[in-house]
Amino acid sequence: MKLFTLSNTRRAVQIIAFFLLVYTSIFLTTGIDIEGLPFVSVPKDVVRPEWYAPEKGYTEVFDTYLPIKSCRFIADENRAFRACFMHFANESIVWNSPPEEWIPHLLLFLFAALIFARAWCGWICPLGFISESAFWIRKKLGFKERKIPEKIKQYIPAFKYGFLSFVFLLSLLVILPIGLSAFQGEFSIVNCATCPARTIFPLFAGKFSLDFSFSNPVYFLFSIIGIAFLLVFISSFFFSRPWCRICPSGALLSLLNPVSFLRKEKEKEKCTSCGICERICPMDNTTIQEKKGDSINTGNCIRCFRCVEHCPEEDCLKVKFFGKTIYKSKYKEKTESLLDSTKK
Amino acid sequence: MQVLNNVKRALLGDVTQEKENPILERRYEEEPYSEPGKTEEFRKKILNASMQNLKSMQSKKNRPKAMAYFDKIVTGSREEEIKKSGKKVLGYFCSFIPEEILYAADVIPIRLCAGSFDTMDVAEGILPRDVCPMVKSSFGFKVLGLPLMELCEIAVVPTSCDAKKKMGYYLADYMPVWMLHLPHKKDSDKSVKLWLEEMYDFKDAVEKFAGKKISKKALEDSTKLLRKRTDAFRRFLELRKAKLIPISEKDFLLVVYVSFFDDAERWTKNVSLLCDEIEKNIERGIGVHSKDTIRLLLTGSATIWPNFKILDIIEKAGMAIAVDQSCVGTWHLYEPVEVEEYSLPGLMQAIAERYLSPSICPCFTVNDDRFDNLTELIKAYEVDGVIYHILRLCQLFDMEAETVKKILEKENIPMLKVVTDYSKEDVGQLSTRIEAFKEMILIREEGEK
Ligand code: SF4
Ligand code: SF4
Ligand code: SF4
Ligand code: SF4
Ligand code: SF4
Repeated sequence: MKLFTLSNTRRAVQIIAFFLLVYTSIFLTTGIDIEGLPFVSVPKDVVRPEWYAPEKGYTEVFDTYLPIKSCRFIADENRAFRACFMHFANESIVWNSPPEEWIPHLLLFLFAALIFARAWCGWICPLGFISESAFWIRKKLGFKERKIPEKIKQYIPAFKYGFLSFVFLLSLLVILPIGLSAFQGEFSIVNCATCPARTIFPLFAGKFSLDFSFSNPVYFLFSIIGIAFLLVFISSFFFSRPWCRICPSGALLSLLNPVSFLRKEKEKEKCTSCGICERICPMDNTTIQEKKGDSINTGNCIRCFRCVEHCPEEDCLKVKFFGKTIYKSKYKEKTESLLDSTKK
Repeated sequence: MQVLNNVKRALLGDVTQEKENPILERRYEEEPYSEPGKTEEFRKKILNASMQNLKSMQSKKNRPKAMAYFDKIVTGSREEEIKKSGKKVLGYFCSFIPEEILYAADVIPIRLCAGSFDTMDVAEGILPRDVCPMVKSSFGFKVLGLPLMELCEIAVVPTSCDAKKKMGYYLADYMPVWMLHLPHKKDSDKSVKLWLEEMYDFKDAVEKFAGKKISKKALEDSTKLLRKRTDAFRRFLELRKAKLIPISEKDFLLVVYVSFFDDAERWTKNVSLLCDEIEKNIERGIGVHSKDTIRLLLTGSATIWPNFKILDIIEKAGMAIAVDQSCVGTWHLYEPVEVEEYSLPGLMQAIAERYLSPSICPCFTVNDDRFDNLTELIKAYEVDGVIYHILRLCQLFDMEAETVKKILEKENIPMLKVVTDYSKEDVGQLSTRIEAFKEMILIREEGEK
């Protein structure tokens, strides 16, 4: 058994990231002078519903947003980051805050997302990690794995980008004078109200709350979607990362997948079409097995690189970082030969 | 119970789906024709052919000593062993049948594709003259009651090429035959689904045949065991890349041929020993051919023990085969079964895909993977030329030759297409062509310098 396999490394990174994001207080004691850190100013004049306002104000340690679910519902006393980037995207529009306040956050996001794109999902996101762990527990308990049916799968991309657009559309509606005054303000909560993270993360601080309100039509709609999404997330126990296929954060990063600087490459002549990569993929990507074009950096790929790890053809799949190969496929169990020293 | 079933049947029609019997049934049966009297005579003939091959192979200098094991197995010691073991034996054709399932049920698998010239004649009485020599040869083994065909209680034939399909039909007169439905397009999800279903049926049939349930544990163990076999085999292939060719193609094919019927665990051990020796030889600069020998790649139809005619000729012409691309050589054990989840469905899926998706058999409509692999092998093994070997009447390989030729022209690698069968009639003519091919390569190399 090799210890430093790619899977193990990724698992380690995920665990560390999980603790850093969810239990920061264990690692970082308070007392840090947060006034000295960037991005801490709190916008004041905000149109937002009462229960949505943060209890303590934004005074947490790093106080910015990550491209993945560094959720604001991670218990306040534990949390390192302000919220997830989707929340920011909403907020900055809704708050009508001056550009100098949100532009640094946006740049930070673009920088981080452009380099790694969905590798954030595969390596860092704590919600994705929980999802993966649930699936792993099922495996250990010996329950049968289920595959998302083809019939549903074909609509996933449309739904994913559709929902992403829906979220941004609603955020815009908050500030446009369209005369829906009664509920307009509530539109801003669409992101968090529908997000499963809101229920899942508090669990890790020992709090359980099913916070769904049905008191007005907007809340009603959001709560219905939210419950549906929560169920999708819970099905992680049987399906591999079901929520990640429609998650708006993931969808946003998906858009950058084809252009990011951490990417995969495939030498198609070396591929034997054995289908191992397709079977091993946690996101059920079928394109990785194909031999045409740049079909392997598609939006649905979370860059876990399991396909690269398990491909039995040497050099067939490669991971490139700024054009440099940092990892490549190889037949793992092959006994090392003395060839390299004697050849040529 | 019976009453209930009857009521159900009356109400709903026949809904109790009986498992289909896998045995191929002919309505136009014929009296099997056999020649038991000749068994001994032919047994000697075949042994002779093997001995002759071995003698010429053993006389080559620097032949690895670990080959002795394979020499011993191929000259008959395995037959007694199988008989003594008392286990069930199942024979199969082509390289699509998952040995994992057979090992899990404690059944001994034997690949029956044969390369004996001697047994062809007798098959010609039953099959037409103009079919693939491999099919005729294999059929002859049954008619004559020869080992190892005789040990098999059942023959499993995939619907790969036309000759194999029809051979299955006629073989059904002689012994129980299972036809496995191999899809004609391998790169489609539907095909994989069909093949997976076929694998489940195969598993059920094997269970019934062996009188033993295949547990998840047993399948896991056998998969891991055969994975080790592939590991060792991959190492062997890797060693063949050495500049000084460390093992002749004949020896290589013999090693693979022995895996057709040998015990997997013992075979793996001995291949590892062979690899160790080869590794040492490479280190000390010992090879079986001199350094500037022309390196060739052999692709196309199967060259099965003891029909090493084409290899003989190439060897006599002073060229070496660095690697082959054939379902009885490099590709028989090449692909690993990579299991994502050690559950029964997980194992079955991995096994089914391993035998279908990466196959390079020309019986598939689109076989571009074979061409990809060919250019890869050319680069990896630094070959100077390609021998495209076609067993006479194999249309599939013949038709693909055109594409291969064009691809190789682009790669600037010369190719010689050889159409032949098991008989020795055309040896002279082939030698001349292969000599000429060698001259051409030499002239090209001169030109390049
Ligand atoms: S898709 Fe969403 S939940 Fe899944 S890993 Fe990415 S950011 Fe996290
Ligand atoms: S609830 Fe979801 S959208 Fe809101 S901050 Fe948390 S992760 Fe982001
Ligand atoms: S395609 Fe490869 S890197 Fe992308 S999600 Fe699937 S296994 Fe991971
Ligand atoms: S695992 Fe590698 S060789 Fe197999 S299909 Fe995928 S890319 Fe091709
Ligand atoms: S080339 Fe295909 S049909 Fe011919 S023997 Fe090999 S596997 Fe069978």
